[in-house]
Amino acid sequence: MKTVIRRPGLLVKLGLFAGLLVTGQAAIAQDTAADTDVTNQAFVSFSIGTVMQGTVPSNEVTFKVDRRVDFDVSLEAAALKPIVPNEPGVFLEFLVTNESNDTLDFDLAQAALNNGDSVRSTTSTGETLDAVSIEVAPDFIGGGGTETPSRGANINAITGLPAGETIRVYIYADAPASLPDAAIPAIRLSVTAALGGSPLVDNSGDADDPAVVQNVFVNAPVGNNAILSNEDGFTVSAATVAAVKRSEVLSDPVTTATGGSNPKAIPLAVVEYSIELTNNGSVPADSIVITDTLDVASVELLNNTYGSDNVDLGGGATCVADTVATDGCTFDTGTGALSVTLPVSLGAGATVTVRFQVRIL
Amino acid sequence: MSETGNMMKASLLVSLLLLVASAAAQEANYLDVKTTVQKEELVTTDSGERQTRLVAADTVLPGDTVVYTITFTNVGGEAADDVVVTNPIDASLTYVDGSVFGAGMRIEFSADNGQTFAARDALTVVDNGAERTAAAADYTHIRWTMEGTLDVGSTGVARFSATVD
Repeated sequence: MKTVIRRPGLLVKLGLFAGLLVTGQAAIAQDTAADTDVTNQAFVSFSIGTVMQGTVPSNEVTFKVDRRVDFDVSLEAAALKPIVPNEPGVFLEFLVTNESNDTLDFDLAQAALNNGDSVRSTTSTGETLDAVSIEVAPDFIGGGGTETPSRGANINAITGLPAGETIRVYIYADAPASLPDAAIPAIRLSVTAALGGSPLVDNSGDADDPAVVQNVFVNAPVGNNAILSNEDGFTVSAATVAAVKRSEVLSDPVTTATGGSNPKAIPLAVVEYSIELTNNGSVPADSIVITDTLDVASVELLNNTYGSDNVDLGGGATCVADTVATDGCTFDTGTGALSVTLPVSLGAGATVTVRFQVRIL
Repeated sequence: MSETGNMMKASLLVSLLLLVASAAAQEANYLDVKTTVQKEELVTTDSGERQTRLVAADTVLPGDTVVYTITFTNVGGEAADDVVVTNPIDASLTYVDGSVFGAGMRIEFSADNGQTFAARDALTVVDNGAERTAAAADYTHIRWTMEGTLDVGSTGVARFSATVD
């Protein structure tokens, strides 16, 4: 019998069917590793008449599975991370997942975003942070080791991340004291796929070679390398305290003695200084300390002016500014240095007025 | 052919596989067997239509589909009877269900490394203690059995597709 071997129509149908299966395949974790040789060989047995003739092998065909370079850089947090000025050791958390079919290295780099650059669903205000470093967890998630990076090493590469695994990368920094309220300093983490210390190069434009493991980038190359980046940032909550100082002459020995109503700043007149503090920030200001220096050659601090104390802290509170610091207030009669510590926080938008009185010498 | 006959033939074939080298030398003058591999590639035509074409299997990634074509030509002086083509499926491949082709041939599969063969819907495996119909991913071997003879000078073709795991 003559065997019919040409069925191109069927082959096309088979191809379309197979294509649909490829689209639906999602078993990344079971990917065949790059550099695996896949071999096929058929064996044919036959007889002549009724006499078996043994088995004839075909040639072997072998192809080498190439390297699909695919990875992801995602954000662990759900939103911008709240910080306050001068806060040390703040960090952003990134997740790097190797979705390739080979163990890969990744080079890491960070850069501050400029004012106006997009981060999450908002824009960065462009401030930079201090002592920025990249830290990589000692082990990938589920690897059995430490999965959380600690600050100090400033590691700029992930080494040997197995296919299908995810590792945490932190960017640590110190928040400078100068960060304004509502600022959004942000940082971009750039990740470059590498192997053996060198960035991988896309071989898409090279001649195919069935005997060589070639790199096929899933995402478009940046330059000639596989680079992905992601951005995350902080939102700053600062307490901005403004101080306004005023003075008022309460009495003088001449005008007051004669029943006048407009005392003047003459020797022996009593003057009340008031310092009005307003918190224009978005969070309460704690541990506010007011320092002032009196000109002890011209004035003296009066005692027992607010009950038995000499500083009115507002809100009915008072303290004694003397050489004893137990109530948070001190006064040095030699240098005129006055220090007043507010006993309570100054809430966002709140105002408090601190008063003390002096006599003109 | 009876089922018993098939079983006997299967076991005989397994035995013969062990003697491939010597058999090849002995029978090379009767059958010329060749295997080729190609890769399926989805392309979009200028008109936006998506089509599949076959290209050389040079760049192959997990998830790609490869097509194996086995041709066997009777280069001897006598017609060949009972021609049976057996193809083990590489461990890194998964057979694409419905992709097997072989005109005028009975097609069977094995899920136990070639020890037993059965038609697609008759092949079963034991999964967690329960017997079920074997799925494409279970197949370890494909076998084509010619219903007739392979005349002198004639060529037969067997083909299947598999995805790279």
